Amino acid sequence: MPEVATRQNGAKDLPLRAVVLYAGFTAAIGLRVALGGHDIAQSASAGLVFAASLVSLGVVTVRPHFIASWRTVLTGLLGGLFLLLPAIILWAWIGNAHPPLGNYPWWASVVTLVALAEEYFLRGVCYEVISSWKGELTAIIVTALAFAALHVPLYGWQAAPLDLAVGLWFGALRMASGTWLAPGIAHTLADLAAWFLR
Amino acid sequence: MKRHFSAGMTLLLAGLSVITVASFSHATVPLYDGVNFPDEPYRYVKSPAAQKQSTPAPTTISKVYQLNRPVYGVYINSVELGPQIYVYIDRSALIIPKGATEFTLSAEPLAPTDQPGGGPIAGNVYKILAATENGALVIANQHTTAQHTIDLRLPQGYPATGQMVFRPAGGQWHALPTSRIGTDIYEANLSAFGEYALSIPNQKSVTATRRKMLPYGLIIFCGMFVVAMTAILLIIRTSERKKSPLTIEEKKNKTRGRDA
Repeated sequence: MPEVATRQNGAKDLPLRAVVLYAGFTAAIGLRVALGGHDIAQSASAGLVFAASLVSLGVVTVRPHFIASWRTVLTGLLGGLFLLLPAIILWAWIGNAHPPLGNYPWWASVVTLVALAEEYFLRGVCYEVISSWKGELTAIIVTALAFAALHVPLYGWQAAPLDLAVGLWFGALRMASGTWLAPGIAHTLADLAAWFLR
Repeated sequence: MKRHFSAGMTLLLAGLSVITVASFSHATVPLYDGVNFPDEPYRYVKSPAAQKQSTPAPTTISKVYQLNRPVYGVYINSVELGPQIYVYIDRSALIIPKGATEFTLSAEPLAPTDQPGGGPIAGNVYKILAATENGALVIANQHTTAQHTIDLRLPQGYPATGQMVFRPAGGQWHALPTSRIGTDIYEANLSAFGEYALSIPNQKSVTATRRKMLPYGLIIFCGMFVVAMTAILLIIRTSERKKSPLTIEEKKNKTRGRDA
């Protein structure tokens, strides 16, 4: 069992932890927006600072469930493939050529770090704190809302419904697998494969 | 068993919500981490004076569709990374002259010659045409369910306030209802064939090379706030460890051991 969920006195601190976590999360988004400016979604440095902020907030809060097994990997891969289905269909229909691979290793490294940091923080740390306090369903909804909110400065409000739905999907993967690694793999796979499916 | 059922139901509902939202979403390939594909620098027909970087010429696109084959929708997109223009028209939205056997859909980039009243044009003007051997095609706007859209990419260095403008051949520019469907992609209805462009309302344009100063105050404030929240979380965790050295699991195990 995770540390936060089982420490007797820690249970009283859960609301406080949740509030402080979300305040820190909001400030991390603000930091990313301030660093990224107009080109926020193109700014790798803003993304990396954001990822580092999330990891630092998470590391001092709780050690979330981490189960590295074949089942987890398979759940993550299937979860990612599901998210890629619309893009695969679109790609099969339109069949655009993917961009040259020159930038791919650099881009993929940044994307992987940011995606894993987001999942570690949201489906790992936040999920752990909120599910210990209010249950898993609340944790799925709250982390999905946070996931949608963090993408609004990048993609605008029109992307919020899709990000909310995808956040729910990642939360469900977390619940089904029992670890944040499964949504972490799904998230990373969906992002990395998108390079070839654009 | 109950947990497996709950997890299965949650997966099912979340999956259905993804399918539902994705079906109605006009967004291009979605990314969930906030780091976009790196776009190549915008290709201008005539580069702004402030832009020193030379780029290849923008691409002209033209596609021929045979009418003796079933066609559900027609599209063209330019080949820049990412595409500077993408046009999609449902087949049911096209009125095709009688006797036509094929038609050509094309998009040609042009340098802006005159500016719309609401604000200067950012990027190229795109001239969209569709023609058959028997004359031009027309878009049927009365088809409310049929899609006919145009997406344009805003050049780098402009504020995210793109506004699509349109003018028919020889007409005046006028603004169209515009949606931002990606970081720098804007979409509007392709109501007719003619010239389309993105403009920046209210003189919010900046030159392609001039960048806004970083808001150092906000960066320092947010950075300090993140550090402060991290410190508070660390204090909570440390004080909690002092108060309760044993976890419930550990206490349960201890009690079990005593009872045995």
